[in-house]
Amino acid sequence: MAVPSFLNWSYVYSSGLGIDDVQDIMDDFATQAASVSWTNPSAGLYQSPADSGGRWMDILLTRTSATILEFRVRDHSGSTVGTRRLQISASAPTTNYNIFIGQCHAVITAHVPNQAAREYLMAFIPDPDPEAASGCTTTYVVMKGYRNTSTATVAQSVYDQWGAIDNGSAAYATRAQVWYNGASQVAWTTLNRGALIALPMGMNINVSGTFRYLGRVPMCLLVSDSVVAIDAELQIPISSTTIGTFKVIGVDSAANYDHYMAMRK
Amino acid sequence: MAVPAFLNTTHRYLSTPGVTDCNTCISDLATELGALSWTESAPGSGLWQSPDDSYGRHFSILIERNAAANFHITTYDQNDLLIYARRIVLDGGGGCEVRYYTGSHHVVVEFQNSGTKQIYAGCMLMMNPEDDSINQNYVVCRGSVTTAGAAAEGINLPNWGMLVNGTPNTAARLTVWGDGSGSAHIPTMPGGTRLYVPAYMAVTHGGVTYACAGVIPQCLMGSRGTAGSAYTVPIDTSTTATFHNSHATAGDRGAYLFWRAD
Repeated sequence: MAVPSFLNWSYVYSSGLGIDDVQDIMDDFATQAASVSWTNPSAGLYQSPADSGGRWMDILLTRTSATILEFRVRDHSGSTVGTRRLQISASAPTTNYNIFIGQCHAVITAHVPNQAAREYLMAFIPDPDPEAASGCTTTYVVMKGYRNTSTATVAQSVYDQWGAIDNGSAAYATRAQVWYNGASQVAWTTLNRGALIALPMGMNINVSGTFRYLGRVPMCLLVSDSVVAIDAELQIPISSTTIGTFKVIGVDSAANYDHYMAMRK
Repeated sequence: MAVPAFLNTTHRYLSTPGVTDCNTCISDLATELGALSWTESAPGSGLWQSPDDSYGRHFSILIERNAAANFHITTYDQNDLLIYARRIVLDGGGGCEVRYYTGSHHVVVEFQNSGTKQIYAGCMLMMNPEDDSINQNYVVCRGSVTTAGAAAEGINLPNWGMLVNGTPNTAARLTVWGDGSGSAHIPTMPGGTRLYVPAYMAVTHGGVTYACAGVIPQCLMGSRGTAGSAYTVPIDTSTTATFHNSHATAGDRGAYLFWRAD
C-alpha cells in the first residue's frame, strides 16, 4: 500500500515557546510558508502553491494587537471563506505555539502551558481523491478558528462548524465527516488489544444546493480524545513501509464526537 | 493494495422470487450454507455451524419455520451461548423475493416484502489489524422482530445484539460515518462518486468503553442509493464487487448497509 494522497503532500512543522506577541507567530509562519513554496504577494498575505487542479487559497495574517492574531482565508476567486482570531497571553506563563503548513493546509495552535484551552486557526484544501482535483468543485477551501472577529470565543454550536463557500455564500456549517456510535454519538476508541484507531477526516460542502463530500483533510488524522493526550506525538503507519509522526493538537473535529485532530509533523 | 480481509471471506448470493412459505427459506439456506462448508448438526435439524476460520472461530444459527410466514433464526456464539432469537415475516398474498447473502463469516436473509421489509443478519466480526483471536465476543446479530413478534432491532436502527459480559445485549453498535448533524447521510462527491466505508461495531470490552469490536464481513456502509439495487464497488486496485443496497439502514444517521452479492 502506498501513502494515501491526502497524507502525501508537502508539510513542515515549527513551534515556539513563551511568546508574548503574535508577531513571533507571524514571523515564523512567513518562514515556514516560504519553505513549502507559498508566496507572499503583499504584507501579511500568503498564497499557497497551486495543486494539480489549479486549486489554491490565501491567508492574510493581521496583528490586531500584541496578543490577538487575525486570520482571513480566501479561495482562488478572492472570495472570503472566513475570518477568525486567536488570542495569546501577555503575562507569564506566556504562550506556546505550533505551526503546521504545507501545500494544502495551514494550522496555527496556541496555548498557555498547563491550561486546557487550545486556541487555533486553520485552513485546508481537502484532497478529493479519487475524483480529480481539477473541476470537481470551484469551492473547496474550509477553515475554522477559535475566536470571531470581535475576539469572542466561538459558541459551542458554531465551534462544531467549519467555514466554506456554500452554494455561493460563505457559511459556517457542520461539515466534518466523523465516526460515531449511532445512538450515543460516541466514537469507538481503540481495538480490543489497545491498538489506536486513526482515521481520515472528511469534509462536506454545499454544491448547488446539495451537500457533497469534498474530500479528506490533508495531513490530518482523527484519533480518540479518550486515549491520547493533547501534544502527544503518535507514530502511525501510513503505508506498508512508512511511519508518519502526528502531533495531537487538541482540537475536536466536532463537539461531542470524541475525536482530536492530529497533524502530521 | 489487496482485497481487505473483511471482504476476502467466502461468499454466495441467492435470490428466490415468489416465496410464500418459510420452508423455502430453510431449503434455500441449506443449499447455500452447505456449499460454503457449513455443517448441520443432524440432517434436518436446522442447526448450522459455520466453518472454523483460521483462528478456530465459528458461530451457529438455528433456522425454523414457526408458521408459513414466520421464519425464526436463532444465533449462538462459539460456545453455544444464545445471542438472540429473531423472527422475520413474509408478506401474505403472492409471495415475495427472498435474498440470501451468505459466507463463511455471515448470513443475511432479507425479505423484499411489498410492505415492510424484513431482515435477519448474523456474523462474526473481523478484527484486522489485530488478530481475530483477541476478542471472544465476536458474534453479532440483528432481526426485525422477536420470536414473539415484539420490536427488536428492526430495519432502520443501528442496533445489533451481542454478548456483553456474558449477557445478550442489543444496543446501537454500528459505528456510522456522517457529518454529525444527526440526519445527514454519507454524501456523494461533487463529481458523483459514491462513497463506501467499512461497517464497524463498538462494544464495551475489557474495561474499554466503546472499543472497536471489529468490522462486519462482506458488508459496506455507503451513500444512499436505491434500496434493493445493485452497485459495483472497487475493493482493490484491480477488483470490483457487486453489493446490494440493503433496506437496512443505520437509523436516523441515514447510512445504508450494502451486502456482497456476487
